[in-house]
Amino acid sequence: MKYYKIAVLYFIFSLLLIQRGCISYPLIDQPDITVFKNQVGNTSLLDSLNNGSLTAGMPYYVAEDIFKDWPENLKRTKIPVASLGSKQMLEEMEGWSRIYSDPDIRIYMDEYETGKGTLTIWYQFPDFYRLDISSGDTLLVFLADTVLSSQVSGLKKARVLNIKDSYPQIPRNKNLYSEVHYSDHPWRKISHWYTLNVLSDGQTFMLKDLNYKIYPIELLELNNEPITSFRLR
Amino acid sequence: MKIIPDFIQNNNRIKIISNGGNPSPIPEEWRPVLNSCDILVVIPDMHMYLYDSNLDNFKFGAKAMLSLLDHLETLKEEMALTGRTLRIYQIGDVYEQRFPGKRLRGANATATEIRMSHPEYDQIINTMNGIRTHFLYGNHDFELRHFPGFRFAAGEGKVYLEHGFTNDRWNDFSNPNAVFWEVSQLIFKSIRELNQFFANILVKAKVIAKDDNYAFGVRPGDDPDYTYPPESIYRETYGIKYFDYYSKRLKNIPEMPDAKICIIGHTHHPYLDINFNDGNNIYLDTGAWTEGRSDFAVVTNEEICICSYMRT
Repeated sequence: MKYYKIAVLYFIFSLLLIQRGCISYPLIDQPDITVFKNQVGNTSLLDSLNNGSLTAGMPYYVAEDIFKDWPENLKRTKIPVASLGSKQMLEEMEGWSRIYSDPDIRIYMDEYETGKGTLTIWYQFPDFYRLDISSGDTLLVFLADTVLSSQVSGLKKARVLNIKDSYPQIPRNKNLYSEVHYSDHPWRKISHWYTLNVLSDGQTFMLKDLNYKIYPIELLELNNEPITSFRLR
Repeated sequence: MKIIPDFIQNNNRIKIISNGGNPSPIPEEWRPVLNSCDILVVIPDMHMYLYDSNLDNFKFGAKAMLSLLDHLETLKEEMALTGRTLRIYQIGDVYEQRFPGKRLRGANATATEIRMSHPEYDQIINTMNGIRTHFLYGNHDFELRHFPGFRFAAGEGKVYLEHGFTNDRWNDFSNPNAVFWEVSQLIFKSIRELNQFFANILVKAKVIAKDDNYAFGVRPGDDPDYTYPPESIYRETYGIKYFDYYSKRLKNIPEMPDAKICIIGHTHHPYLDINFNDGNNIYLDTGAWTEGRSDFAVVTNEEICICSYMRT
């Protein structure tokens, strides 16, 4: 009888532990694949998502979607930071417990406690200056099943660039998925753009206004080690 | 440039509300009143606060704001093609930082957490930055004085701009330079915390909807208000202290000895007086883009007016 009681207690304890585990780390949700397909033309990003991976270059809403039911005590989101890789929240204090932050901060960090460890994600508002686009880099514009490419001839503004070729067939007033492949950058090979619009000359591209949901994810880290992708399942 | 053909163009969501729906002329002997731009647009108090909060009522006008900014962005590029300049000012209280914060218990809301509380809010700030909006700080976002780009006042040719809190007395509790202001703000923040606490209970009890605004002292924003309130009300409510103060102010700006037009916000009450100071000045209160209002002011070298932007 004594062993029976202990066995029941073990059983209940195990159930509680399992319950606790399930409460701590809920199932990762699926992002909206249809929206992703409509917005992202890069097949490797699409393959990654189909294979259940979160990778750099994806729009931020993918991370937001998959962790949307994550408990509040296991996440810190939209933390303003000074640079990619930095984990220090950019806030300052003065008297009377007033806290303030620079309204023009453009880099943010999310941190999620997962079953595999602490996942850290950095994403940022991009512009051509910030992402070091320069003459000689290659712009790739994804149009349905066609990819148009041309060398960047120069930047007119932080959000306007010119290419060497002209593509009048690109529809105007349409948000285009595009990439810039760098010719000579110390650590970047590629950057991802979700709201490029072509102007009437067919060779000037303007980055339209975007919000944090489509900021590109720039960097991923698991347990303080950089990773190229995070397995969702 | 004329306001209707050159600024409003075919945008039927922009309505002039001052002077019976017509632009008011600027006296010929003052022209040009703008020295570094051809059209000046002034956006008043927005009081953008945490989108999810019952205390935020900017959200009701957020889409209209995005639409106005889209109009301004296109117009700015079009004017640039002909060598003309559109300049945009936001004259303070873009954020509501005098309400409770979200992330850190007890702290005031920060600009970043307000901005990141909804994609539309982030996009509004991004677009404002993209069209190079000049920001002045108001009494509800006084902390922004710490950052480059935020100023107390500005001069654009003969146009003087500031938020409008400088003539408030200590017992108005809305002038950051006045004694007891810090203390009063702490008290007000505690009231807002209580306000939010009870609003959350009412939402959970399904007495009010999540978007209903129940902030004490703040009018709800879900019903649009495109009216031009009677000028007599403005004169009775604000005239005594504002008119005298800004009349003197316009005569005593060292950097602007020929200031002719004064533009402020702060009261949330649109008002235009083209015979201010015995006809020597023009006084314009831009109104607000909160509490149901969606006002803004437009100035060219020839005309001046207050407009409202229709939500649909």
